Amino acid sequence: AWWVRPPVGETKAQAGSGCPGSSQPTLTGEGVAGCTWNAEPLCFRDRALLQGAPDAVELRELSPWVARPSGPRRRAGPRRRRARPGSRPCGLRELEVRVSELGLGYTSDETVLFRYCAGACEAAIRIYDLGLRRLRQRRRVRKERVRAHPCCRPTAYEDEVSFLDVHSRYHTLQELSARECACV
Amino acid sequence: WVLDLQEAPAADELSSGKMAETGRTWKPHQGNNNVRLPRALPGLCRLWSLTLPVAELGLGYASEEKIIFRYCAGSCPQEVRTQHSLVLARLRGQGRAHGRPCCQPTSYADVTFLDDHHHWQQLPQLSAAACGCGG
Repeated sequence: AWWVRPPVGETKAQAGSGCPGSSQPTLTGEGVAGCTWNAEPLCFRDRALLQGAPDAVELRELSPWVARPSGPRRRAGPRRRRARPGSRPCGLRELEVRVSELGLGYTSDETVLFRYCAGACEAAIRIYDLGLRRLRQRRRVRKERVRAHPCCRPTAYEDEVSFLDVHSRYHTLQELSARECACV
Repeated sequence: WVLDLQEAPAADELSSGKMAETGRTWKPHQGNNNVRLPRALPGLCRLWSLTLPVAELGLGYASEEKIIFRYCAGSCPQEVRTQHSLVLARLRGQGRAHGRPCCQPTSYADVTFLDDHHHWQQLPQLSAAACGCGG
């Protein structure tokens, strides 16, 4: 808008100055030349003035506003990633473990997929837990000793887990990795 | 008027009786609690029992009877039942696996009692029958 309006105004002014010049033919010729000389520097001056101050200031003011909202948006990302693993419901968890790290006495560089059960069991309350919570509230039972909710436990295991040891011997472990979990 | 006068003292006697009973029953339970839960010795996971009135369970039953409530409590050292629990305890010790072993009932028992209306009430699986540590 700022760029379009000034040229229109200037053209109108020039047309107005042209009218009195038309009465004298010789003056008309000079007038035309004068108009051309006057028009060019005015146009340049106006354009230069408009370009300089207000636009630059506005752009500078806008730039920090644009940068600011992007900051917190980026920060939200890592916060969401830091969800607590303990708050997840009871279910299977996976770990890739070297056979030597199992602590079962085997020496091997191979890795096995170890699955175990972990998670919250707050939603699976039994009547036993209700009674226990009541007694805990009345301090008939120590809080640190008693858990008034079920535990996340494996209810089924993988049949076999096999690997080669350092001496190229084949070993098979049974019921090493969990297959199903439940609040028991 | 004569009937009203006769009823009033009966109610007073009943209320006083209840107060006396509740007063008496509280102290022995505390004593039992102290004896069965020694502070000095942190016990391992096992079955504990409490004798208490039904009303104390807060399950909404009106009854003056007492029941035996059994529960599981105690610490759970590394369990060596299965290779799974052995490996899991090791990985938990290294901080690689979440969770912890917990002392929980492995079987339950029903509890039966008479309510104030002389009706038998049965609470299935209210009491623990056996305990175990499991990962």
